[in-house]
Amino acid sequence: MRPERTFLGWNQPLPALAAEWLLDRAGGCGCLDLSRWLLIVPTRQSGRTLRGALCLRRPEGFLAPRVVTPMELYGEGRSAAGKAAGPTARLWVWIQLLLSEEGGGENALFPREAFQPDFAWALRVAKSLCEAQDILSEGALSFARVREEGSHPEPELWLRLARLEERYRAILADGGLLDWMETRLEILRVASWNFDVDRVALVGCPDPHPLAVRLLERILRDEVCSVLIQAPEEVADGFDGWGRPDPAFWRRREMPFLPNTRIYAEEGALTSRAADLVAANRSWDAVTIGVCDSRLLPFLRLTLEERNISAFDPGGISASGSEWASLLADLRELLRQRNLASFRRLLCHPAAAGWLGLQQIGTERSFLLERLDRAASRTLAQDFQSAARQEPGLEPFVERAQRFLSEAEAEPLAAIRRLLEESFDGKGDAGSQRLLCEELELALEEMEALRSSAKRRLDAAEYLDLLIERICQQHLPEERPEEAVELRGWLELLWDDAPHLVLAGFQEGAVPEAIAHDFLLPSSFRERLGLRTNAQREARDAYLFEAIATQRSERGRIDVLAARFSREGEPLFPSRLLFRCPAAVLPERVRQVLDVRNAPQRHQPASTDSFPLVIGPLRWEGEKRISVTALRDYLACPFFFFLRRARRWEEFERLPEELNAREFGLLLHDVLADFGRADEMRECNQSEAIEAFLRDALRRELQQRFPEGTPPAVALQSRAIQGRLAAFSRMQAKEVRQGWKTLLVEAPFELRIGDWQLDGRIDRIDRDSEGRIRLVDFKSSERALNPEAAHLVASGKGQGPAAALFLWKGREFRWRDLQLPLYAAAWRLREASCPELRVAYLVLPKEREKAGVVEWQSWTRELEREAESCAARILQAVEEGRFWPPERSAEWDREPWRFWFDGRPAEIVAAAPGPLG
Amino acid sequence: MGVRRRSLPLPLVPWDRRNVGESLSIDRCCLIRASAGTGKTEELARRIVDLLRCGVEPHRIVAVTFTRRAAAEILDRVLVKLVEQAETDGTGGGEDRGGGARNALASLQAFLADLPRLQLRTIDSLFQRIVRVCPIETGLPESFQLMDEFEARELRRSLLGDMLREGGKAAAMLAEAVGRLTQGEDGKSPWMLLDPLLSQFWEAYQEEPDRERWGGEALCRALIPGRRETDGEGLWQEIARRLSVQVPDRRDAWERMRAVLLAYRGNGTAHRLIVNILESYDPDSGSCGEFYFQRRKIVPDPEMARLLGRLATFWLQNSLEAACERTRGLASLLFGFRARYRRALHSQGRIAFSDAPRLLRELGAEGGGLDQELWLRIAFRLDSHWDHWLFDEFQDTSRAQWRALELLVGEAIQSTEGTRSVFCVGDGKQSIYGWRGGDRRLFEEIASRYEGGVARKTLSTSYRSQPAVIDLVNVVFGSKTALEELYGNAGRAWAKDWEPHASALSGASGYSCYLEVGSDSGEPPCREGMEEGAGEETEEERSSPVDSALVCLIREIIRPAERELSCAVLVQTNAWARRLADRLRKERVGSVFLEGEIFPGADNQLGRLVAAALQSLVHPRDTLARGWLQASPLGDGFCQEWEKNGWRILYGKGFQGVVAEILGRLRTALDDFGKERAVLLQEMACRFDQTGSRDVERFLRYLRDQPVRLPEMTGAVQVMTVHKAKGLGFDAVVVAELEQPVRIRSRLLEVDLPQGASRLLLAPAKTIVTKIPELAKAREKAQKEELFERLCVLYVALTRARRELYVVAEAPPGKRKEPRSGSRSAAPTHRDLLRRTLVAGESRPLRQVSGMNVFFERGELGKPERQEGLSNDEEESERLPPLAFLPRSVRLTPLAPSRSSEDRAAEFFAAGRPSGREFGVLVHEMLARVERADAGSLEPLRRIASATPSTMVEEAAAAALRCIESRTCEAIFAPPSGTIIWREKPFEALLSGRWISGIFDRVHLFLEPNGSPASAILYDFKTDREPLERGEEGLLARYREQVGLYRAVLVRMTALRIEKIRAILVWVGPQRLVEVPPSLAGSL
Ligand code: SF4
Repeated sequence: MRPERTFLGWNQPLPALAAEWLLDRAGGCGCLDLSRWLLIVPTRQSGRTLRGALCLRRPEGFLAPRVVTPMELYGEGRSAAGKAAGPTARLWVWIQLLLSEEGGGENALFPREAFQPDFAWALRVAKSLCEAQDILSEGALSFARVREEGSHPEPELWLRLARLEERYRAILADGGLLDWMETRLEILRVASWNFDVDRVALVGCPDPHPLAVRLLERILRDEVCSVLIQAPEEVADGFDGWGRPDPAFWRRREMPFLPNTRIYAEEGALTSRAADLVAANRSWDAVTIGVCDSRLLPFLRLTLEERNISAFDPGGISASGSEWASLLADLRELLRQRNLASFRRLLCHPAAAGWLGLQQIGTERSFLLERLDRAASRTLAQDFQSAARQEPGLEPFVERAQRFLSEAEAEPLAAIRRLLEESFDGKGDAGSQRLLCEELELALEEMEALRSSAKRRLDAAEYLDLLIERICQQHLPEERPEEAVELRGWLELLWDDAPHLVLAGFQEGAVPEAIAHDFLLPSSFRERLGLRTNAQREARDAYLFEAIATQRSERGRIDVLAARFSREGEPLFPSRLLFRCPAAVLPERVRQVLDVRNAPQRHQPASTDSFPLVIGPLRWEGEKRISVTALRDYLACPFFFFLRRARRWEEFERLPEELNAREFGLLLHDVLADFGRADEMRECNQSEAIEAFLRDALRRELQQRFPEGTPPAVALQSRAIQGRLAAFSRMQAKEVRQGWKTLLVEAPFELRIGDWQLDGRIDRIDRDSEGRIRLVDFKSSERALNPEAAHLVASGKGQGPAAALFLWKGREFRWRDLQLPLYAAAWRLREASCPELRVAYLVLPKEREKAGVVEWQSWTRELEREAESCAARILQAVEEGRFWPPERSAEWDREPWRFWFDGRPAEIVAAAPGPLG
Repeated sequence: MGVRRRSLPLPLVPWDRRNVGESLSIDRCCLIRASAGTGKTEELARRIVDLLRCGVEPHRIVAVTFTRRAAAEILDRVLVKLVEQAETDGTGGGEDRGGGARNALASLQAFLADLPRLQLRTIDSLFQRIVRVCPIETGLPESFQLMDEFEARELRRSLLGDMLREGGKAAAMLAEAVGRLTQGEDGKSPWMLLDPLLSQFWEAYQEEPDRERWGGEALCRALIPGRRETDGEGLWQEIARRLSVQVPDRRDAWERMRAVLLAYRGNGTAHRLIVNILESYDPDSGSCGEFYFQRRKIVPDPEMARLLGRLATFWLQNSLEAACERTRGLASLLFGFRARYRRALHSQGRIAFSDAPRLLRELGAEGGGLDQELWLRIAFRLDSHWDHWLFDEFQDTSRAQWRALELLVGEAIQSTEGTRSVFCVGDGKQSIYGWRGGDRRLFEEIASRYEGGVARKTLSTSYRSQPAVIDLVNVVFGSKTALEELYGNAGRAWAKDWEPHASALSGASGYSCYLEVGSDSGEPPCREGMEEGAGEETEEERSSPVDSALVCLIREIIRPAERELSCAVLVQTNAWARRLADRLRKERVGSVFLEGEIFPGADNQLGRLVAAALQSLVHPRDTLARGWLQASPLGDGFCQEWEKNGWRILYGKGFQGVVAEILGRLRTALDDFGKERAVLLQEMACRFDQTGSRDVERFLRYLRDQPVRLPEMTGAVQVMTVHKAKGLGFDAVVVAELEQPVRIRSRLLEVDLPQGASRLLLAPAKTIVTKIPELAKAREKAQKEELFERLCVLYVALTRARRELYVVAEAPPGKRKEPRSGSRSAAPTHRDLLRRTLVAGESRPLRQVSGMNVFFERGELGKPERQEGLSNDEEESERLPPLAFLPRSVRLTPLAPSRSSEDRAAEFFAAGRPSGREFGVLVHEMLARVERADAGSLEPLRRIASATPSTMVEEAAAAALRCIESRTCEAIFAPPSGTIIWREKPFEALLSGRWISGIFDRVHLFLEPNGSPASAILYDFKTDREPLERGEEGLLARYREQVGLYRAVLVRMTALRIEKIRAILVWVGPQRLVEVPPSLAGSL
């Protein structure tokens, strides 16, 4: 066809101009008939706009024209020779090639000295190669053709690429598929299409794909193709026959500096200005935000949302954030890791609920999560089956996941199919859902077609990778709100007819857009190959800018917003189009552009607490029973005690690899208790024998805890325990030689104070040859502790609850802990005629030589009695609800408590008064 | 602004003229030492302008900066300069730019035209740019992503997690490494052991992956002499024997110490006795002198001295051996980690900042330099030839970075062509990044490497600080003797390059002072040196008397909010900064920020609320988080609802949706602060959502740990470490934390071996190091560096102030406690230097703050005038009038009634079943081919239908054919002549304001004689493959609405009355016709 240009002018929006022009040329008998027209528009969205414009002018209805995008001229991609390969098939084949032998070896594209290629890597490189192919398609080129063209400094590279490409085609052919480019070249060769039309027009399409133009040129050589250009005759020189802006012309063309151009220091100011501009409108429908830089999109949406302005992107939203994308990703993780974490994540995923049978079985998710956590911290098992074995409630779900895993192993594609079917079932038939399903189905078909020619079998996780890749490229239609501001990309703006246009992110690199495919096709090379050049892009964008500005110059408004720094602090620069002006005024223009609008100096609001926590009433509501160790919390801070002991607020700590400090201590305790209980060891004074016994005991304890084998990190920990046990053995042997014998271990006791009952457990009770008794508590903290310092502190430093203070030897002291004294008191109750009583820590710190029994040197009976009365004072206070105010205590500085209360509970909490206060 | 330049016009080889036009009339290698605030950026921008004016193409220039701000600023300045020059040129008053080959306007045009290829980058981004074009060489995909600190940390965590989980050989290797590292002193948590080691040494290891360098055999052999003390037990016994004679009352103590003495291997805090003995040990004589043992001085007889000496050697050997072991353990840990890390980089396609220079260096690894061919290829891919290199803040370039840069710049340095040049601007006095590899000596190295003339220049006139501030700086750093006495070699090195500063801001004087806070201010003095163990026992927060004085100082004198000043409190360590910020916040001195950063996820109630909701969702057992949530205004009701909906919201709308939901539920109105935090939280969530991750735990970590950087703010107090303040300026600056002695920070010593090579060693305790000459030397070297850097830190701190500088130290303890004179071990503190240089004569008490004395004072406290430009024409032009544009004309989305029964979404996946829709489309296509059922038009259909093998296409053709040829449908394909037939015609129409868009399958239009429509039949083909039981009724029910709409459209289009239009469903499969009565299809 030969082009015939028509200049529509640019004082009005393009859809209106084009519609008028078409209606003037419509045929029809009785009713308006455009059905013999084929209209080529740049995008589907612009086609919709055009149809809408026509409809608005002929509301009674008409037979519509065929509207296609340039590349749709090539049809659906089915030709006599076969079906064109879809994106997934292309990636699949490249991946196969990259990972198979041809990829490595002497002539490899990627020498493999530096690294071991894997699927994920291959997927990325495959994408990059597909991109290169797409760029080359602009010139109907292939890798082989590029090689023939020569002039690249790396001819061997292109030779290898050409060879790979050959194999790529062969593999596709095996699967009954044709390379995308091949089908098009074939169509080009036979110069035919499937459109039964009389007239053809290329409408408002300044940058058609070069291949499409080629086809137009080839087909129906004698016919005319109307080229509708939104521009006045005066700039006719600015376009070639097909309406493409001419670089030479547009480079010289001067651009106006629009009055509403604003350069902001930071992108945040830019988005909020855009929102202001929308908000200033009576109707949001009158505004379009041209999102020149797609990076801005999420933040623009956010800013609009904050102002309660609904936004609508006719192009849809990326499916990469949809729950389906995350479902596939979670499944992939399960397949790869098979661990608890990935199983857990699937349990949380609402889209997996149906498939896992969550509703069917009717279990609460939180209940399951709780069980999982419990199982996990108990077993530290990595694979979910063994972790869940101890929690019967989890069984059915584990089974389903397990079944999927084994099916996926045997027949990955079929298993994925089944799973998708089950997951999508009952999820409704919304348009976006359907679109995704279609896309996934196509991808599955492509992969199935190729399966037999696989050099390397893909596993299910890898198939999922490809599916995820596929749907992440999709955009899902979104519901259009009643009234909304439209968000459109830069290239869509020519077709936008909103009277008010806000250009957000008018930056260098976005307008004109910088194409980067530097590794194979740097820009100067692209130019040499005759592909679309940066100069062409720049000309197009200069034209677009002028066209969209001019059409609003009388009846509308255009705001140009750019920023100097991105939100991440990356420097930006306004588009160079802003500098298109006569040399004489260039300096002035540069000054204008550099005139950055500082957001008004932000005066930071002082921090406040948005709300208090309301906790109360401060009352002890349980039974009057408490453990001795709990008193320590009260001594530290009554309010902390209240939260932890009365309200039972407890953090959940899970270290997925190793035992946490508590479990570590418990394990050590248990081993030592085993030792203490062993009668035969009671009088043993040989450290080697003791150590041997303990090592054995440790092994037994570990076996019991981890029947499936000790996790590696725990093995490291058990070595730490062994070290401590060795130190213990030496120390123990010495103690025995000095006459100390173990009387009892883990002796539980109850101590009544007032009508309260205190519970506790004495780790070990020793007696020496002279009948002296020693109560011992095991301490496994990393550093050696001293019992006196741990229990008492001179009260000068810091405060503490009143109940903790007492006078002793004329000085004021404060209790920090009552543990050992109360042990003593409890023991004395049991053995009324107790002779001399000592209390001690048995410390087993990291440094072995510091292990040993540390007695409380200055221990006296007096302290024991004082401790009892302190306990009574505390219990009294607890009963009276004296939990407020909080004390400054280290407890509040420990994570996660510090996080939740910011180290200043008194300010964050508005405590409801207790009974007395 | 005239710059005096020594021009060295260089002869050009003829072919070069094509690149530069004219010969370069500027210095080819230029090194500029620019003190703080003297306009490094300005100098660099000027250089670029000179290059441009000389005719250099912009894309041949590479300017490397350290911050992105600096890069942007340079760009601006270049533009402004060119504009200014062009304007003066324009008015005819242009200065003659020497050999300027290009006028300013042309230069400006050239510069702007080349914007996309301009290389004005941070050093990191330059490296990334290069690595990105080398996917073949590096194996990294071109699309690799850059990890930010959070992501890099997450990756490290997950790799360490993998390491700890993996069994088998890997576990055995790890266990071995850990064994060496801990030397039998395993802690409870492997994670707590390994994680800090990785974050501390990983970078260093990446630079030095040669394992032999890490405490290798050679080191051990070199440092431990041939004859070894192995029998510690024997020594101990013998000493015990002698001790019982010489000092009988210490015998028992010695006995009791056995285990401790024999176990000592130079790790952790040694027992006092060990330290004492070691201190008395003289390596030369190999024996010990007098030492204290439980407060008793022991003077050993010669034999005992020798024995003790042997014991000391025993310890030294053991310690050294242990240190080597530990170092090797560390190296093998890092080695194992490295393999995993590299694998992860390739397969995840991500790198961290520090990886880029390393990768680049590895490209050039073979043959010592980037080979010419490879560089050509890279240049081709980059579309660039870089001839002119400019470096900003050169002192911060690390060895590692330089080794990579050298590959690129080396040629420019060595080249004798006149077309290449190098320009560095930096300040050795500000090299405070030594700890992460900054190397101030590079400056000199370049100068020495450069062949030919090097132009040097020194800038010492500050454009930032007012005279009073500069005065103080000059006094402190101008004293050579004080520097030398206190800082030894480091001080000497510093003084060598010192030049007094001047201030260009002569208009106002500014203010500076040195203050000391007496210890009588009622607070206990700061307890120094409690590096470890503070966690478990100490309840009391460490504090310094300076704290409360600072509070007063800010509140009473600086008054940043009231006087609209930006104000910073600069300290040296993170811990101090944190503590001080806490304190200032609690004292409510206004808004206080730490490190110029805020943590929106952790520093306010809203962030905690989000965290509480998510934590209780993901871990129902966390009753703390749940309790917190219940105690929040959202309360119990929300908790229960949340448990049900939380996951759905998360997966449907991402974390952004979650944050919106939670904050949206708060009924309390938020104040300014709350609103701001709410916005920041939303943004954080939005940013996190970009990663596509729905991992709640990861998000919670992100929420807690991810800071948001704030720009300079007036009215607020920013507490920060000097390192963070680098490159910034503030109206008022308080410098504190000056009384800490210098500690060696790096635990890794670089030990020179006798043979010349050097090795790395995890240093044992200081007591040990000082007794082994090689280690002592290494330590001294490190110390000198450290001291020099400390001076730099002080210098940087003092030069941040624009107008007011307050230097605040705690008064030294009373005279009695003066440190033992002559003992060089007492490291100098900044306070020592300040006292030496600033304190002269009497002090006066500061009126407003009790206990604070002024020792030095310059300038006066004036009323600050707001700098112009900051309070620019404010909002005025920004305020928007209400806009009343009409809504755009087309704003509807078309309603396209469903033409066919489509499969339910899930049914797409039923294996082996071709989609019903695709079949339907094909059948429609076939039917549309036939206008009339004559042989001519049926022939092609027949041909297709009879083809084998039979696929969906053939099936569709057969179905169409069966339908066309069937009795019931016959008439459809044989309408009376003169009938207008539409086949497969799309249409558009507006129906009661609704835009209807559809396709007529087949319409027969009968005309009046006059040509206007008389009546019509609308046929709609249906390909439903449903079983027939529900039959026509079902079909009717399904399509009644669609056909109704179609008929209504046709009514409008043809202007016929509705009764004149029949609508018939053609059920293709069973070949049935179903008439749709008009009453049911009432027009809409
Ligand atoms: S080793 Fe211990 S248990 Fe065995 S006999 Fe000797 S003292 Fe008794």
